[in-house]
Amino acid sequence: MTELRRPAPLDPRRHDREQFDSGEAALDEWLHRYAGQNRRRDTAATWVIADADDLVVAYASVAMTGIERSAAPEVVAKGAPDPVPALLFGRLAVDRRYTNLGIATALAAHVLATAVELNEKAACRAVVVTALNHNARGWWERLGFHPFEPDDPDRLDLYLLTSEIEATLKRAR
Amino acid sequence: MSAFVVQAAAAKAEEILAERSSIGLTREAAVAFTEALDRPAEVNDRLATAMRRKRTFSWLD
Repeated sequence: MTELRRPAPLDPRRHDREQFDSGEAALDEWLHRYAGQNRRRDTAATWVIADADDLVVAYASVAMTGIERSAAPEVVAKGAPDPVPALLFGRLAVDRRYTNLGIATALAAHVLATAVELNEKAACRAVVVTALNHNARGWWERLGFHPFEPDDPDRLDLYLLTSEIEATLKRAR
Repeated sequence: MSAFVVQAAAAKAEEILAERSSIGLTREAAVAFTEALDRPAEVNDRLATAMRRKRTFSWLD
């Protein structure tokens, strides 16, 4: 059975990411060239799953964001906080040679657990993701994510509430 | 446009999307999201099922 290291923050000196190939050029390019670079203003943190030789087989990038509700003045008028603090699941990619093993789900689970931890310490009410395409939107929905615009199949933004992540993980334990 | 320019533009678009410091919602989405936030915490069955699915790899550490 394939053996992998648990999710860890990307360490550019230790992790080998040159050979990473997810089949999505923009995602590969970002990992090869930009992840972990200070000059990218450090707006996103990168987590990786690597094999025994520290070869990256999957990565995720996460960043803090805010969900703006100002388009609904009736909500904001009631004193609801705006924006709502959330975690943005910016990228998730698995090397083509390692698909269908459950690696993407494992990495996603790690990020979701991080949101629960963040919520306890500093308020993080939801995890948000923009699916890469329709196919990917289906994948996120199977993971439990809700489309912000369920009636419009062209909209690819989805969310999961931290409260439901916490309730679900607690029951699973 | 050259392939390089197209790829660079795609990478830039991807970066902007992946590192947005704010997510704008339409009015309908903002109302629905607020209602969801205000509801008591619920177990998410799809997430629970996904978490139970067997992995076909193992952790080294």
